Amino acid sequence: MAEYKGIKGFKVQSLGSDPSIVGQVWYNTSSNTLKYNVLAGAWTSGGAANQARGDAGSNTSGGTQTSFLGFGGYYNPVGNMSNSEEYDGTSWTATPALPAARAGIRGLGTSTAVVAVDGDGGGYKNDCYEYDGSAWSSGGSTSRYRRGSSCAGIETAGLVCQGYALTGAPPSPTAGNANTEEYDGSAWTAGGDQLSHMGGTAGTGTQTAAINAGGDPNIATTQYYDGTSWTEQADLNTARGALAVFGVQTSAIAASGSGPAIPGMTEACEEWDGSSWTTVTSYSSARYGSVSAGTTTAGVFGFGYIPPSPYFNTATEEWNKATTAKTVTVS
Amino acid sequence: MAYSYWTATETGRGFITHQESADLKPKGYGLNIWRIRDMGVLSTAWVTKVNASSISKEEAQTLLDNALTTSQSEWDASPARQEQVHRPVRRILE
Repeated sequence: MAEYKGIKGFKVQSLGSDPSIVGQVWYNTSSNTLKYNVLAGAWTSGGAANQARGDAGSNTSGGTQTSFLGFGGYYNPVGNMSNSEEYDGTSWTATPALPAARAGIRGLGTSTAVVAVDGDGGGYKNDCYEYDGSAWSSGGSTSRYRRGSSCAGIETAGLVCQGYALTGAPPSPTAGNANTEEYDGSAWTAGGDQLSHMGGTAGTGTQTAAINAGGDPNIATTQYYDGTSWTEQADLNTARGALAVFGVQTSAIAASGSGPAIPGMTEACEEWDGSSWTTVTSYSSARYGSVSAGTTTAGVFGFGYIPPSPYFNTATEEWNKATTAKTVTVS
Repeated sequence: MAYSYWTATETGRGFITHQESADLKPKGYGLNIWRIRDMGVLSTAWVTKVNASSISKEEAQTLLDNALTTSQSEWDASPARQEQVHRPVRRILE
């Protein structure tokens, strides 16, 4: 037998402050508004970095919101940098510097087993450095000299692909390369070539389940790597280069970057669910050449270029999915 | 939806909270210039919290344009910077 509540429902409660239960509807007597709670992603301010810079490297594929390393990069008037910092979810702390100054360096791995690869150090380099949580040491060199590549995986099963292979001012997208190289903790070997030659892409995931998206100039492409070959996936809604991508192959966030027209910038963020990109809450300060790590429920994003001024910045933002109150409006 | 422009120094954690991000859709342009959605008491609360100063859209655009001139001159005079970053272009406030 049906109950009255089952037929007529419950009365909307009148509350003086917002509750935290997802799905709840209430009337807020302080703001005189009808409100409801949803689980939504949004960006919040995090701790500021010690050193502003752009085009740094990070352990995107293995870092988390509470354990994340940023290293190298470019800062005017210093030039290419070797500084490293670690974010613990609250603040950045200086860590041992890279053995050499590098802009456009990229990385992979957990924060106690980081691999930093390639970059620009007065010419394009193929050096590889490993960080064990306390010191950097040399690893096996890649076969290609490049900067601005994309990485995925961990120290003993890593991946580097794409990036700019030639110098130029400004860097020419035709100088991108399609080579994929795989790392076993000591040496790099050739993997399956990518479907296109690009720089300015971003990627994450594992050596056998990687995702790579975007690219210069104004590219929307998404590709998967399965450990052997690359396959085309659904495009980003907002084409862009020098973006940040964090998460895993089937669940990732693409944030900010340069686009839709270079050298403009976009604050657009999109979430990948394994089949398509959906636009989500925008990043607060559009920038390009940033670093990122984490998951679609808890991510971190920092450094980068925000022209015209200040060109380099220290702001960090965290991505979180949390209970969010929405106000019912007539529009 | 109406928006307003403010200047406020980004102070790190707590400057923009999850709920404020969802409500106000803040947008930063550098030079401490921020645009937020007008949401009545919610906007006022954020302005008070971060001690923001009101600025017109035209004033904000002028600040950005002046900084752009300087930034482009620096870029033109610096081959090193030209190899690293794109020449900055004008951002037109919406």
